[in-house]
Amino acid sequence: MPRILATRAQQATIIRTFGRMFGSPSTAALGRMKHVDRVYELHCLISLLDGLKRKRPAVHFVLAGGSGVALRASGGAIDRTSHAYIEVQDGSGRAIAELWSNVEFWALSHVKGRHPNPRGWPRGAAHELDLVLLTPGVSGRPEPADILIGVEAKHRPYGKGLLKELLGVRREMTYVGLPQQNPWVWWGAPSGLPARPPSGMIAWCPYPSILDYDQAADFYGILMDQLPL
Amino acid sequence: MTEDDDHWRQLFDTYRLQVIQAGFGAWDEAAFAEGWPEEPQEVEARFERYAWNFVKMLICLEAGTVDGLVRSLGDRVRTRDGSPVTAVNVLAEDGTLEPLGSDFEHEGLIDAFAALNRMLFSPGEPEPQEAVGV
Repeated sequence: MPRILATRAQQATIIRTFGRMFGSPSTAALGRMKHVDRVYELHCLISLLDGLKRKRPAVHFVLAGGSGVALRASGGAIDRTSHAYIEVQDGSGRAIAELWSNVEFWALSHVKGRHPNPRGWPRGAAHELDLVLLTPGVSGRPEPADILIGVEAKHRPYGKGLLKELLGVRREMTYVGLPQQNPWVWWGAPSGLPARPPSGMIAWCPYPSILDYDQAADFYGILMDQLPL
Repeated sequence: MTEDDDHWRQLFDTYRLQVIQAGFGAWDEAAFAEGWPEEPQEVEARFERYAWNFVKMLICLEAGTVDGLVRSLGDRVRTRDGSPVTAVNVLAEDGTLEPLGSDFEHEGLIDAFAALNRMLFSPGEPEPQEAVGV
C-alpha cells in the first residue's frame, strides 16, 4: 500500500478543490487528445530510422513531397501529389524505400480473393499501419508485397484487444511460411522471417504490459517491444 | 470490497472525473479498455498507476517533449537541399496541416496533476491512526 501524506478526509478535499480549480470542461480541451498518438508515432518513427540505419549504415533519409514531415490523423491511400514522406536513399542517392505515415494497405484476402462486394466499399478490404516502409513508387493503397516493414504505435497500456488487432492485421499482410530474408529487418532469427512475402512488423508501446503478450511474436515475424517515451 | 478499497474507489472515481473534465476522456477510456485486467488488483495501486500514467501522457504532449523529438528527427532526416527537417505536422482528414503539439495548451495542467499525485501518493509518514475510517 502506498504511504500517504494526507489523511483520508484531506485526500477527498484535495481532489474536490482541484476539481473546482481545473475541472471546468472547455471546447478547446476536448481536442487535446488528438495529437497524443501522433507524438508517440514520431517517437516510433525516430526509433524506426535508427533501426534501419543500424541495419544498413549507408542509407540516408530525405524528406520528399513537402516542407515538413506529415503525420496523418487518419489512415488512407497514398497521394503522392499532396502527402510528404521520407525517402530512403542508398549511398549513391538512389531511392530504395519510402516511409509513410498512416497508410492503408490492401488486405491479402482482398488481393487474393477479389470478391466484389454488392454492398459497396468493402470496409474490411484494407487495413491501416501507423508507419510503413514500402518499396519506392507506390501510389494508392499498397499491396502486401509492397510492404517492407509495418509499425503499430500504441500509446496506451497493452492488452488482449490490441494483441488481437495486431495479429489480425498481420494475418492480412503476409502468410506464415518458410524463413525468408528481409534486408531491412534487424530482429528475428538469422535465417529470416517466417513470412511470405517477408514483410516485417513492429508493435511498440510505452507500457511494459506489451511484454506480457509477445509469445506469438516470433512465430509471426513481429517485433513486440516496450518503447518508453 | 473492503473499507479501504471503498475509500480508494471513491477517490479514484473523483480523480477520473477531473481527467475527463479536463478533456482527456478518450485517454481515460483507452486506459480502462486495455490495461486493467493486467493491472494490480488493489484499488489504490491501480489508482496510483493510473494517476502517474496520466501525468506521463501529459508530459508526452508538452512542447518541450515535442520540440526535442522534432530536433531528433532533424538529426536524422534532411530536406532535398541538405538542411535538417524542422517541421512535423499533423495532416487532418480535410487536408489541413497543423504543427504537431500545437493543440495542447496545458496551462499548468501537468504541474497541477503532478502536485495532486504527490499529495495523494508521495512517500511519507504512515497515515495517522485516527484518520482511519473517515
